[in-house]
Amino acid sequence: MRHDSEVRRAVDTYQLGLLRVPASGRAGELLGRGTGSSLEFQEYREYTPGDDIRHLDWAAYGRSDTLMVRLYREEISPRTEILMDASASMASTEAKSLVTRQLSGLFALLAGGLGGMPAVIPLTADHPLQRMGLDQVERLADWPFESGSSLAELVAEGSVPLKPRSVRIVVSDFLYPLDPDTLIRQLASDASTLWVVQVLSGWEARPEPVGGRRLVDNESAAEADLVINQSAIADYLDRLRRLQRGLIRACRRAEASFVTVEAEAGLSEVCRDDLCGAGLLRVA
Amino acid sequence: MSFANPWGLLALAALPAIAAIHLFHRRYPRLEVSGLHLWGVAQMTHTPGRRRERLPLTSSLLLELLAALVLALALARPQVDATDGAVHLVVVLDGSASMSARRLTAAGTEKTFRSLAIEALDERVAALPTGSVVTLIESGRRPVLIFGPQGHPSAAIGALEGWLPESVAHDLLPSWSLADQLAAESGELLFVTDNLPDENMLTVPGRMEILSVGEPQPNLAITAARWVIGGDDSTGADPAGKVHLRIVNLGPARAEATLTAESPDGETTREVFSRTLTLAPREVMPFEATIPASIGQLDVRVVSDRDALGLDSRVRLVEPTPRRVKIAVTLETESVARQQVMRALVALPGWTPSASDDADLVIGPASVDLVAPDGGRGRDERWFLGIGPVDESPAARESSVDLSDRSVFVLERRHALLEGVVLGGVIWGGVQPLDFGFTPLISSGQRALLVQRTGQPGNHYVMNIDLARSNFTDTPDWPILLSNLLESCRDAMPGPRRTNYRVAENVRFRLDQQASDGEGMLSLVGGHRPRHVARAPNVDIAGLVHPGIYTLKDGDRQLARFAVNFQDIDESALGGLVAGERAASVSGDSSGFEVDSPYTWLILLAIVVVIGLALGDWQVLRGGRIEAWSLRDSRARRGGARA
Repeated sequence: MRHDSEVRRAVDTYQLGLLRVPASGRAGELLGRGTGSSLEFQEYREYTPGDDIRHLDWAAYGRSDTLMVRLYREEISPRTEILMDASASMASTEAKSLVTRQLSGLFALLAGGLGGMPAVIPLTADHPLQRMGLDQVERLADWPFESGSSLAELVAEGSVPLKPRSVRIVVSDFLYPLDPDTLIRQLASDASTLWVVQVLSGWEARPEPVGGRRLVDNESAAEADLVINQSAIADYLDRLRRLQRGLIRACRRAEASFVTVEAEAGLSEVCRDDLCGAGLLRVA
Repeated sequence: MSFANPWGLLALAALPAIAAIHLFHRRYPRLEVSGLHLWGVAQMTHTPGRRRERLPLTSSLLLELLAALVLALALARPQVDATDGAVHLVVVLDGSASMSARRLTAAGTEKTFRSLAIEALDERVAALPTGSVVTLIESGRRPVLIFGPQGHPSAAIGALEGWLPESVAHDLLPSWSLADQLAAESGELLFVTDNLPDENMLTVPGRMEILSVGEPQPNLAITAARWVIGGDDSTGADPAGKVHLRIVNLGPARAEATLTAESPDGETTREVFSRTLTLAPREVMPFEATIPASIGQLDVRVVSDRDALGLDSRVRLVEPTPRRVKIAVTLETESVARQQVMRALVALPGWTPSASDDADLVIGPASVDLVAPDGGRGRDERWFLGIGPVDESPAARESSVDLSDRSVFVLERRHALLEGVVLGGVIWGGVQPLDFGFTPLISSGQRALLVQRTGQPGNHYVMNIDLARSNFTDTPDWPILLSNLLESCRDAMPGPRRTNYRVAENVRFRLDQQASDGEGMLSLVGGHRPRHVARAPNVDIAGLVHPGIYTLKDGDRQLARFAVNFQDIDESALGGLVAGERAASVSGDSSGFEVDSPYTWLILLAIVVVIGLALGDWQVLRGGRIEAWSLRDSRARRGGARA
């Protein structure tokens, strides 16, 4: 993914918007390369509007009449796990599979840039699941989304090896039968941070009437004939909204972050509008 | 409207079949989705229907019905014009000059055989069934397609307006073979000529019908014409020239004729001579007239009321350009060799004595290096003949060898210098060893007798002989050898070798240095159309089949001017022409001939439409990812949603 120009640009532009107070577990085990709120002083720079005034060096101001900001190293959790939904539904469009790969790689690279030990875990039917470190992140570039197992099934089976006190980032479309409360509670269990990113294609987010169609589930291969008209779309969107509300509510309870992104917007727009808006990323 | 293939209409049966399939097995296009459960089961429709329902007019149904309809029509091949019985008529028109002969009638009305052939052909073409096509080929040295192949009959006769049969006698087989090929299996062959070919001629295609419009006609022809500058006088003192003609009466009766010769004089012409001739039946009359010098061109005509073909009764002659070879003889004055050389040269035409500096050909002793003194001329243009003994020292002469008349001589027969040389009974005396590079032309055993020196510019020949000890000069080979040398030297001079040629005769000449060094193509003006000629030191122009005056130019510079005249007694002899028709000996089957439908484009269009409909149907039915969700649309929608 280092060769993906969009990912490379995003790595240069953003840093992880990690919580200053971890949801649980010990923080500050590792000092990141970025600036943060740890007590280890790193360097000065001139104050610019928007900087945290708590970091202003008033003593230096008194000596030089120049407002200087003290920069501190960021403290992050040492382990970051990116759970990437590798089911066939993530490849319903080219854009969706691309953004899924790009987001997973981006999170891994950003976490790696902070000195952490990121691992991307594609959620497949393999036992045990593969864990790809930074040295294997390039495999994401041509990762096939072929799995028929959903995240909910794998978590329920206990197939997902979740490390305690890790930062967990889940990238999935959540378009499979699930109980949001149960799933999010399991994912947030013993995690220092949990971010949930729902990736949808444009048509999945806002379908249009196309008339009679034989719908084929791209994971279960179940079929059903349906006339996709305004009424059917309204029902679909109602169910989708209910799902998303359930996920949001569950994440709120678990002090996790939830964001929905549309793949066709592209990685740059997703990072700038959606992930920064949700606090998952911030400008470096 | 009719259908060329009515069976194709059976494809219409696919229409109700398609409707039935859609009625009883309604097919929705596949659409892959993520999260089928989100679409709810309440919206599910019945998948395979067995109940009687109203047939939904889906895009798929309409596209498939339309594709089947168009395909059925395409298979049936609808036609507006009836083309049953249409034929492909391939006509070979005799392009020989005799077709231009006039039919002389008692009433005095004149029609050429060409006109009669066109009229007959017009009738034949008019009777062709609708939809037939015509191909016209003119016979000649090379068959020429003058209409078609498979052209519309209405335009066939019009294409013959410019048809001008002027060819000399030629082989008709290439034209018949071409026609046979073009007619293929089902075409009809017709040969229009002025004489019925021999019935036993095996080369006549069996399915070819022959139509002859010729009739026996009297004719007068000039069968030979020659213009000689200054007669055969080698001194060239007489500037006047002579024209030699041969006039033939090819008719069965005595003919009165007027022979006139004119030359251009500015805008007008002036008469050079005029004679009244009386020729007995079959008489061949030679004619000779003196022509003033420098008149440039002569137009000779024979006019008679017993002359059916005008093409062979006129010759245009261009005044020959003098091409005298300047010869310098540098042999010792009292030597035997000089006496023998001069004795032979006196008998040869077309040369003038010259100083060696300015000579085209130098004949001198072989013992002297003739090449070294370059008198200011290009060394490579000069010709040399060295005559032995090669070494004149007494010792060398003493040791030289004499070959008896029983010696075996080996001659390089292909060399122009030895054309006609036989060396019968020749005693070749004074042969010495040669110490220079050479190519032998005459040798006997290991001894080289006549050689061409190598490594020398120009053409340098050496006779390894002592004429005082040889009888070679007493044999006919001696003047023949010198004559060959003189003519070879003359041929190598720039300019045309001749100025008057027969039709189809090759025209050869050598370019001068300026033209040879130039760039681009040369242009030949004359005949029916100008043509380009490749530039080369030796130009060879072939295929001039139209009589007339030709001019070869290098840009604006005139390089050569020559005349081409029709002289072919076989074509001039019109007494044996026979009119008539001969049916094909083998009946052809023209029923299999298929005319390309004028509505082929409709069929092609139908196929394209069917492909388009099939692709459209496939697009509708294909399992579906929704790929057409562009980023721009997505952004616009997202922007709209946020607003």
